[in-house]
Amino acid sequence: MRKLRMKGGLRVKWESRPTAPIEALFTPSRLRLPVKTLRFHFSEIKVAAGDRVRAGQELACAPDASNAPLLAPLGGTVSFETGKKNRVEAICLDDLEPREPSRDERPEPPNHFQAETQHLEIRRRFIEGGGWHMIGTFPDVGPADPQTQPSGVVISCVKTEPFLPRGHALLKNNLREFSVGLETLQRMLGGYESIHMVVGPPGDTDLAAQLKEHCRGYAWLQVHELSPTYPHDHPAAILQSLGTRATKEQPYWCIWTEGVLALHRIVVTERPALKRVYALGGPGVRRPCHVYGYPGTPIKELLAGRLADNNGDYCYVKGGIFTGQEVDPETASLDAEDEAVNVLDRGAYRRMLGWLRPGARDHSVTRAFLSTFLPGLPKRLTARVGGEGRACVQCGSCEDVCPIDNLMPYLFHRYLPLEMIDEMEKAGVWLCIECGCCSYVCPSKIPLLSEIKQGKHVILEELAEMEED
Amino acid sequence: MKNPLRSLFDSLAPLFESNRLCKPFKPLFQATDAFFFSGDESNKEAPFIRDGVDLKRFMMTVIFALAPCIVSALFFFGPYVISMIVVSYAAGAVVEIAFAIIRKEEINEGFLVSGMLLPLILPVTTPLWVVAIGMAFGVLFGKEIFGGTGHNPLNPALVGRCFIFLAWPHHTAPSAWRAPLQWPAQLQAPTWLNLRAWISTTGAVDAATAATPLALAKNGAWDSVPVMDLLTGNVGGSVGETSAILIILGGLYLTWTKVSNWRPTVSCLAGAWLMGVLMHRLHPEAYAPGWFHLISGGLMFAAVFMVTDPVSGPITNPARYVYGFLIGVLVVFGRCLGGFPEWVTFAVLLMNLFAPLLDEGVWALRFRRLKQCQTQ
Repeated sequence: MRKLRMKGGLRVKWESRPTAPIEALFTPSRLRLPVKTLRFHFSEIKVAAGDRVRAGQELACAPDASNAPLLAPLGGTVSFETGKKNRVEAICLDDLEPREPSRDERPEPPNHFQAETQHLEIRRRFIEGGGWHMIGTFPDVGPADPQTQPSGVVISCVKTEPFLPRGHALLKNNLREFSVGLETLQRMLGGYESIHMVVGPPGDTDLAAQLKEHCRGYAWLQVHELSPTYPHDHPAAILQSLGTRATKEQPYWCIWTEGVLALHRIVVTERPALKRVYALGGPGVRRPCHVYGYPGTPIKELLAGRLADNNGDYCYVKGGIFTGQEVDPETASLDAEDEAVNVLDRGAYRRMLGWLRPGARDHSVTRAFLSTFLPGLPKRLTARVGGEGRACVQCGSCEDVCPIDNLMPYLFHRYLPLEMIDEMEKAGVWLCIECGCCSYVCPSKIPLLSEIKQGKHVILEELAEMEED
Repeated sequence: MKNPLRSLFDSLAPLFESNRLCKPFKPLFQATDAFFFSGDESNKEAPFIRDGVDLKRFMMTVIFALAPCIVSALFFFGPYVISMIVVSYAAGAVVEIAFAIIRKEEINEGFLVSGMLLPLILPVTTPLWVVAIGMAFGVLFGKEIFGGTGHNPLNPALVGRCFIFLAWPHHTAPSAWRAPLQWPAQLQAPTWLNLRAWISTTGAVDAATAATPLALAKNGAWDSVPVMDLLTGNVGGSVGETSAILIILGGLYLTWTKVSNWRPTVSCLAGAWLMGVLMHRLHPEAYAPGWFHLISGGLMFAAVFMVTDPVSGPITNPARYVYGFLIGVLVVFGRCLGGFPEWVTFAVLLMNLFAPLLDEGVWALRFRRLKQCQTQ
């Protein structure tokens, strides 16, 4: 098993990490499924207000993503939440039927996809079982196109971003299903693509060794060891370490532990993927854990009784702490692609002589804190900026922490105000994986990640204008 | 219970927002508030967490690294050094505050380091008014006219030093340099309790004139300086530059904390040593050996605290190697063949101007590699 060597990244022992055992299924009182997720837009609504649907029934589909369906996680009565111009923003289900339907009660799966070959048939069944959003594509961030053949696949059993569901939490007691899922994946590909799987280091648990044992006979699978450094589990970083590049013409597919397990569930046991494992982490959660739940669960209900302080001033993040989005827990719910909710202390208090404090629990890439001598102590997680915004002092920390070779985030900070679009492209702005590490380390507190995103947006606007002309 | 100082600042804040007379001084109030209390802003977008270090901590780490040099300066040159530091900060602060008020921006922490560096690279014979003007000049023409901290192409402390050197050369002439205080004068009452020792350029009692090691080396007498004196700082020179051991200690601390990059320092010393070896080989009687250049004059201090200035130096690591190396080479070249015994100021300022060009070269190479990656 080859150990992948990678550049940059952050490896920190954070406080409030979700524990491995997955808690019992959480069933909410209602479900609210946003029709727009990060990569999918389920714009074609298949039900009407007032309809009584069954668990697994198609509620909507995404015409731009091979008609991937949005399935009802539970049976219930449909209503819509609309926004501007009366567009449906979310499909709500009330009067929920809490139990999973038996095989006879399951609705007929939708049939949007014509499959001429066995591997396309497997893909069709996976899409219609509600699992397609668990496959990503790279370098384009979007739904994978089931009609095309990827040049390779990266399977990651490691999730390094705090705090997304941990691979070994999902794999525990599911190794057999995982290996069957791998075989299904290989049949789904149908070709001779290179398949790389990355696992965590041995020692933390013996799961990596068990996994390797289960996959011993798979000649088509290359297993690599990855250190739990964020964002080394990103396909770009993995492929860079392997000396391979994915391109638009020859994309790679990426799939995580949950996706492989879903392949087993949907294709082999013929049951739709209606529930997921969610990570609840951060110091705002009394007992950080993993929990089974349903897409559409209102965040307020999910966190009820779990907050460390009901009157705390918290920042609620859907997704990982580096790439997620802040939400209002009163109104937000989990969409089809969400995996985690993290609750951080906002840290909106003023510390006296903060620059002089020893910082036994403050993390830094420098060694300017006492925490350097206490590596075993979990580091404090807070949403504080921790300093005033200043001009770039050219320290180079952003370049050092960036996992992509030759990328220099400080250049994008220079080019963006001047709208130097050609220079931004030459400097490789499209190779940026938006991990947020550069923003994290910047001592001048420059929001580099948002500047890079803005830069990409400016370039796309410019291209759109040029096409119009 | 709320902190009383916090309550005071909170009660004063509205005054600086609305009162017509106080509003222009808002940057000064904000700087004072920020000095005592860290900000309470929280992240609204990804990433939601940030590194614990900010620029204030960055700069204070550099000040802590300078502490051994400051102690050495006080030990060898008496309490006048404290007056130089106070005056330097005051003069720099006036310029910094004025520009912050004019630009309606916050006062930056950058001058905390510049304000400390300038007095440490001046001889103890520099009058306080010269220190003040030099610091003001350095901050104004070395930093503010380019846009303030983060935008300066030149090291502000060295700009001020250069100005003092050119405007008042008699303060840095060989006849002006003082020998360090000799034991036990450093700890005696007349050194510390005498007001004259705090405000007079002759420093404390027993402040006799003496040639600096570089002045001796210029005349081929480099071997008359005991090596131990060079290492401990018991030689004439600028107040903070004399003790090689204490400077190295500060440098190791800065490098270990990762606040400073080690590449310019190591390459600067390597360049100086190699050039020194070469020159000594060419003419052993006239030119000092390589190791002498490393521990004499201001080279070690510059290599640790000036050459590592991230704003005025290159940002890419390959460029930092070249930058540091050429500074070292230029320093020894100037010391051996130039008219002045010390060339650190000129070498660093000259290479400051070349730093962007060095970076451009590295970027061009990287852009080529990135293009290959994107078109594969």
